[in-house]
Amino acid sequence: MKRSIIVVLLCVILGTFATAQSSRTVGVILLSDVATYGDAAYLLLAARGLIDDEVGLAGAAGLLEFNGYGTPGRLWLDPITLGEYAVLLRRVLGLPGGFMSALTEAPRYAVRDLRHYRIIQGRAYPNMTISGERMVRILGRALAWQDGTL
Amino acid sequence: MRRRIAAGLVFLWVLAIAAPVAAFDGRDWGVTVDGAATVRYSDELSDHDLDYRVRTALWAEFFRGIGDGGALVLSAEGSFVHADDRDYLVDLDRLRLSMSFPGAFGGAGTFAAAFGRFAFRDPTAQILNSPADGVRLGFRFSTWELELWGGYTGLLLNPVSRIRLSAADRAEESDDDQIFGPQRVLAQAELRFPDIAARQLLSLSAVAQWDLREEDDDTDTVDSQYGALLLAGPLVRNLYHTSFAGVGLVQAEEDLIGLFGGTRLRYLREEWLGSRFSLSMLFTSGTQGEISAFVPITQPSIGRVFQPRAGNVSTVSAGYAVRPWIRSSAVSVRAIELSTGGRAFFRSSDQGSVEGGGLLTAGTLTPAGSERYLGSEVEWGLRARPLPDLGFALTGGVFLPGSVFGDDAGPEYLGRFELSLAL
Repeated sequence: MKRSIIVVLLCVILGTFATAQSSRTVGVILLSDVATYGDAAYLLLAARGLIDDEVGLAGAAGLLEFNGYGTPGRLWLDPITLGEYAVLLRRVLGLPGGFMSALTEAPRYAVRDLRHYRIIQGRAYPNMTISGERMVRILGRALAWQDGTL
Repeated sequence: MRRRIAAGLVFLWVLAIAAPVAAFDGRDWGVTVDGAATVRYSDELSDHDLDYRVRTALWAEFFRGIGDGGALVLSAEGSFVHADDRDYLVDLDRLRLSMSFPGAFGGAGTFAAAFGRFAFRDPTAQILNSPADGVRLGFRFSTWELELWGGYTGLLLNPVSRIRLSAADRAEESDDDQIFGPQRVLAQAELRFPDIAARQLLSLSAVAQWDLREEDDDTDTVDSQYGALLLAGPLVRNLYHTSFAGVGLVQAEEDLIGLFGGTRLRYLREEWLGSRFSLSMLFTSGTQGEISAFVPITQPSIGRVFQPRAGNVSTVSAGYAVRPWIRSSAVSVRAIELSTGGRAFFRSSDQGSVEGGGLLTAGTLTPAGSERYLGSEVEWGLRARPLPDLGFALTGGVFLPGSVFGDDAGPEYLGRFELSLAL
């Protein structure tokens, strides 16, 4: 039931992008206990409408780097930490940051900034791994924050 | 030799706390810088006072998940304080190992525990608010929660300790030769019903402290026990209340019984530019008949410019806060909050004295007559956090003394600037 609600939420996030192929990919992401760099790349690019239906998780990671948002050296199957995800989220959605984020892109400052805006909720350590479900929830709140509805 | 043994024991204690989280799942650390400068001016005394304080703290936190949703968290914070009256003070503000075990009681409820140095607070915020070294145990179920606390205050540095009940405590406060604060054992129990009826939280609490010093001709010891009841929750839509009442028993040269109580109403309207209205009343008993002045373990904050100690003081306060730019597209100005408020001070009993802080109002005030009105203060504030890691606040206030300070007593002014930075 909980997962169904999140799938609906994700479809709303992705809008018309949610086709059969993308729904399958999203299902895979939601089921992952430890989300990967490719999962994050796919979700973020989809939220911005920068990804085609045929592109998979590996392609999304490459596309993220091609668009200038990626983290060099990271492979699509690498587990992603909350801090890395926060950095990518700020880059892709253009979220504002604090004084320290202007000086450095360290993951800990990205996490703190997003906690301040209530985009990241609950236990938040920059080096902890995150589940696909949590990644989707954070993305949902980031989009809601941009709309002024959070 | 004794010092070596003590140092070894402290090392083992820290090791015992740190060991379970050696293999952590999450960690974070940071530096915070908090500065505050306060200026006071008394019209009557033509005197001013400027003080400042800069606190730099280094904190770290380590997390390890255990079992099904459980957690071990080791949290530590140390600080360096520079102030106008002290070149430096280095202190360990927090060293706490906390753990939670959801489903610990046959699938229902959560067991939580914390060990180390952390803040002890009573639910009413009128009796106790101080760090201490000790233990906290929590038994949390869906309909009720029980928290048990026990701690020792004798390892807090003297300038940091806020526990000042007796004359001996007060005398030690300004004694630079005294390294540690008053040695007391604290105990607290709280039984909480999060939703007893109509979304009301009911809290029943008991707090006690025992003075561990030897009583002699030069040192008086004071033990005390307190009982309190608190009810909080919504009354009607957008209107919330927190109401409390309690009793304090003090064993000093003679046994004393003090009372306290209060209520705070808050009316929140987010759509009116984040408006918050508040109205509150506070009563702390004075000496009258069988009842004595209420003596808390630590002093609650009662006023801004006029800062009376609890006991024989009652207040009526009103306040309003608004965020005028809450709908602005610029994130940095959305959280700017403007506030104003007023507060009237009274003696609870027409007998007895009141102790205050400030320039005009410092020391003990013993009015000759039965006048109860002490004065009023008005305050204004601007609070902003333009960036997630940068915040500041500007506060101004004026205290208009009543006739108990003299027929021609002039006002006292206060201005304060606070800055906080998280690195």
